[in-house]
Amino acid sequence: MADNNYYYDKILKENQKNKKSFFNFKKTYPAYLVLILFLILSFFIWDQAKLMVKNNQKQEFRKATNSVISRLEAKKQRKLEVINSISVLFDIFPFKVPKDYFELYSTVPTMTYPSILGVIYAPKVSNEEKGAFVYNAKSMGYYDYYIHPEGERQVYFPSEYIIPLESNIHQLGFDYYTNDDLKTAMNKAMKENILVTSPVKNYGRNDTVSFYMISPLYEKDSETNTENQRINNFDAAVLLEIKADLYFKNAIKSAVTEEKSTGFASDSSIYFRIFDLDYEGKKNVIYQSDNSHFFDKAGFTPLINEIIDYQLADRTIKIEFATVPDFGGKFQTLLPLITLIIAIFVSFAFFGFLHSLISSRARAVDLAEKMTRSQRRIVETSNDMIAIMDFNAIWQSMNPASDIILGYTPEEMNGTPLKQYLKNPEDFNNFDSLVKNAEEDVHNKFDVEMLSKDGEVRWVSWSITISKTDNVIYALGRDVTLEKLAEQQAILKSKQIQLAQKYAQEASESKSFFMTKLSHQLRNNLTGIIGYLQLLDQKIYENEEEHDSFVKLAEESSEEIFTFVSDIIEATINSDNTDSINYEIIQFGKIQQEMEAELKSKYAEELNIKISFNEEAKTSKALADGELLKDALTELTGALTQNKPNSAIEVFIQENDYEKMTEIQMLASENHITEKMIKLFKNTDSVIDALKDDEDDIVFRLAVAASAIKRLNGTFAVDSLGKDGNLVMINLPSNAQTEGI
Amino acid sequence: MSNEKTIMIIEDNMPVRKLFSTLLKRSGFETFDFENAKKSIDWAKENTPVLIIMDILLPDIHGTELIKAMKDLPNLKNTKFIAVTGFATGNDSDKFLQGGFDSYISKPVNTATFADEVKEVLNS
Repeated sequence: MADNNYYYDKILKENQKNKKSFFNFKKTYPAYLVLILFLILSFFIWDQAKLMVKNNQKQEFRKATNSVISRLEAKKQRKLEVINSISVLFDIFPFKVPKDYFELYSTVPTMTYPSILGVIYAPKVSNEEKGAFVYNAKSMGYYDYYIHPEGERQVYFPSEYIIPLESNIHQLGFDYYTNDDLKTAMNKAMKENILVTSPVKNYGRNDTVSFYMISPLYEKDSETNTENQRINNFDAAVLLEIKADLYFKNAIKSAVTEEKSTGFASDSSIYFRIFDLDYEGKKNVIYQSDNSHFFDKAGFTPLINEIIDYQLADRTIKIEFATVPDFGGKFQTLLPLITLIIAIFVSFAFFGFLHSLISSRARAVDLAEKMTRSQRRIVETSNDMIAIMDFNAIWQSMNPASDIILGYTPEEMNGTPLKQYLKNPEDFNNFDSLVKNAEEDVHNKFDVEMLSKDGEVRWVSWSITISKTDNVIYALGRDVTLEKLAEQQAILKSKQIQLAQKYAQEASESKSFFMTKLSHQLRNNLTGIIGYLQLLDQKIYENEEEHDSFVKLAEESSEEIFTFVSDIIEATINSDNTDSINYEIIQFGKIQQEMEAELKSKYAEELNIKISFNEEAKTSKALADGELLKDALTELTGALTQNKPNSAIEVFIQENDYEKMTEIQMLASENHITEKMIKLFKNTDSVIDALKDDEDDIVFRLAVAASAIKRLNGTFAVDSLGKDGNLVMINLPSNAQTEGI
Repeated sequence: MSNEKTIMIIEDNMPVRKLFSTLLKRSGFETFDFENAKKSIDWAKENTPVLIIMDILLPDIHGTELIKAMKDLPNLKNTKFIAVTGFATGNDSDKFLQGGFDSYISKPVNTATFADEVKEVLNS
């Protein structure tokens, strides 16, 4: 017997080690790694989202600010066009531009652009020219013209023309050079020959904050290449006074707009203020958006805050832009956070999935291993041979059952051919044919006789699967030796019964034939005897001779019949004596003990069957063969009790002197199977046919007992009394009927 | 030979054959008796008895077969047949009558009535 302990111990030890495999970090660490990776990725995504949102916001911010700037630029261009066009006017005229022309060219812009407070022509007037200049101005219709502020100065830049005059009358004659800011701006324009913008401030016009755009004019055809030349040849300045807030307001807001809206959607996402730093660095807010209160909102820090320079000629106006709260929308603001949350969630979800997968796989592997171990155990402990062979019928693997069934260990069998173990080598041919002809996976069964190691024949029932896929044959072999023997016994028994039937039939036919022959012979002889005696008695003979012949013929018939009868008796005596009956006077008192002992040894000790005899049985006698009678009674005991434990039989024996018979009654306790079989026995025409329905051999035993009793010249009867039990009645000849036996 | 009084007796037991012959002769019949079927058939081919009394269990052939052979002979188409048997049961009697016999007599025969029974068959 192969040692299976090694396999089991190994398996159990392995099982112990791997018991918690699916919780083992060693197995699930990839999931944790992936989690860390995903978390890093999540934060990266979050960062990227933030960046993207920031970029988006920056873009939006840029768009919004650009929108504002572009509008301002557009406005600026228009103003530049105005001042340039007027400046060019002075270039065109060979001498000084007449007042009418100045007014003509200046009125339209002032009417078109409400932010233009005034278009001013301020020529350079020296002290010496002052008188003449004033006189000239008055002669042009400015009757009250005077240069102010009053005072002697080296040079003056008074406004000579100013449009519109009505709203700027206070500036008529005003010496712009007396204003430090304007002086600085004019000097710069003069020196650099550029358009200059003055600081944005109140230049004495009520609450109006304005700025001047100053364009220098030089003497006609003078040199202006150098600064000196420009200073020396500086002749006048054209000034454009622009109302600062209106300028920016009109630049920013569209033509059709609501009070609180610029008309540009992007403006709603930002707020801004436009301020100027004067020459001292003082900050003057020129204009601010309607929602610029956010600048002062406590605790609020805009997402983006930027100061953009806006070039107004040479002046850099500052525009401070900032994003409103929820710039880009709350969703966009929260998008990175949402992304992060989702990413973290996905990370953990994936981790969970992966962990579960790995764990499941580990569990599955564990389970598979368990199943494999279970299956391996089943294979190894199975009493059936579980094997694999190749297509040449060479054993590739075998379980330890081969040792049990054939006496060969798996190691001995592996590598050897199936044919080697077959009792009938020709049995291999069918198997071989099956394998060779199998085109796809085939399942088949066959029973063969195999030779064990010690030379015994074992019937093995093989169930095989020819797997073309796996290129092997899977085989399951069961020891069916006992079943086969039983089958053969059953077949033999069946044949014996059939033979017995045939013999019985033959005997019956022989008996019929014998009886026919006997009857014929006897009747012939009797015909002769009776016939001739009747003729003799009736004296139906013609003469003495005929009389004698009749007597002789009668004698012949008599002798024939005597000879015939003698021959029959002799033949009977000389038949096979092996079954001859030894008649003797049976003392039931003596036989009772033997029967009790035999019955007890056969039934009572194991099954506690109680057998009781009546008192008279001890002194009763019968003429019978003791052994045959004992066998018959034993069979009846088995039949009546069906070998059921705790059954009881009462045996009643008495002699009937009148009929010269000994009566035996056996009464057994209620037994339904026996009752059923008794009915079958009684009602059948052929006991042999009834055997196929026999249960527990009851009918068979009744038949055997009945036959034995009949052979003892007795009578046999059996009956069922239902609840009262089952009864057998036997009559045997008593010692008075010894004649002839 | 054809004779209204000619009776053929086929019986293998000599005393019985002689008894039948004696009883029939006493009644005025002419009898021809044979101990086996072969001899009887040979004679029957040439002769025409009015009646054939036949034992069923003959040594060479069963009576039920012999009667078929006899009845195939054209000269015996009007001949009556009586079966004499030592084992006549209810089934046997039907078998004999269906086999072509006109009657049957069981052994041992009653010598007093045997001839009358034969006449009765002849007259039926």
